[in-house]
Amino acid sequence: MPALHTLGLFVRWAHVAGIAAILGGALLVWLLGVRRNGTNAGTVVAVAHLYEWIFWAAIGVQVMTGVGNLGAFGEALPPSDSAWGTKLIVKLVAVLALAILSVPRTMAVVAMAGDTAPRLRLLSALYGGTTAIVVGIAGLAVWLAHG
Amino acid sequence: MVFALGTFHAAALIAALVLVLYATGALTSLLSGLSTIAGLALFGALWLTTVWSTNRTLRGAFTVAPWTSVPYGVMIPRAAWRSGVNGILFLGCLGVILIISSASNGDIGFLWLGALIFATVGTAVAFVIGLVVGLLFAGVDLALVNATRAILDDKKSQP
Repeated sequence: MPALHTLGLFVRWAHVAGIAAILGGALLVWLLGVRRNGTNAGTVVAVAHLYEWIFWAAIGVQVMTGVGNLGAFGEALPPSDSAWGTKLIVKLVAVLALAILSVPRTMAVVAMAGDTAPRLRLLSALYGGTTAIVVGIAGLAVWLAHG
Repeated sequence: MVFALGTFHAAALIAALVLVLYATGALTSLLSGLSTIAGLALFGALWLTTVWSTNRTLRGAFTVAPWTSVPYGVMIPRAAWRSGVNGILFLGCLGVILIISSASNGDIGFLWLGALIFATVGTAVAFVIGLVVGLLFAGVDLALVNATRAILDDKKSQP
C-alpha cells in the first residue's frame, strides 16, 4: 500500500475517531447529569473536566484532518454553489458554532470544579445542547460522505 | 483553560478561513498546491504556537475561572502583543515547512530569495496580521467570558 494512501486512510480514521470521542463523551456526561439520584455530583464534574481536555484535543484534530480530507479531493472538490457545497458550508458553520458555544461550557465546568455544590441541572443542559449539535454535525458528515 | 482557548483560537481561525475561501472558490487552488503532510504540519504548528501564545497572554488571568483577575487594560495590549509574536512564530514554522517541502521536491532555486523576503517584509506583515487577529479573538473571548458569567449567575441554574 503506498505511503500517501496509508496517510489518507489514517487522516479519515482520525476524523471519525475524533467525532466519536466528542459525541460519546458529551452523551456520557449528559446521561450522568440527568441521573441525578444515581451519581455523585463531584464525579460528574470530574468526568466533565476530563471530557473538556478530550473535546478540545478532538476539535483540533477534527479541523486538521477535515482540511486534509478536503485537500484529498484536489481539483475534484465540488463548487460551493452545488448541493454538496451547500451541505459542506452548513457543516463548517455548525463546526464553528460548536467551537464558539463550547467555550462557555468549558469555563463553566472549570468554575464548577471548585464548587462544593456543582449544578448538575446546568451541566445536563450544557452537555445535552452539545450532544444535539454534534449529532447534527455527524448527520451532515454522513450525508456529505454519501454525496 | 489555556489549552481550550488556544485550541479554540487556532481551530476557529482555520474553520472560518476555510469557510470563506470555499465560499469564494479560492480553496481548491490553495489545497491542490499543498501536500497532506505539509497541511497537517502547518495546522500542527499553528496549534502549538497559538496555545503557547494563549498561555503567555492568560498568565495570572484565570485564578478563579472564569473571573479574570487582570484588568482589561492590561489583558488587551498583552493579547495584541502576544498574538503579533505568534504571527512571527507561525511564519517561522511556515518557512521551515516550505523549505523542507521545496527541498524534498528538488525545487530550491528561489529558496534564498524567499528566505530573505520571509525574514524582512514577511516578519512585519505576520506581526500585524497576528496582532489584528489577536485583538479580534480577545474581543470574542471577553464576550464568551461575559456569557459564562451570565450562565453561572442565572438563578434557574442554581442548585
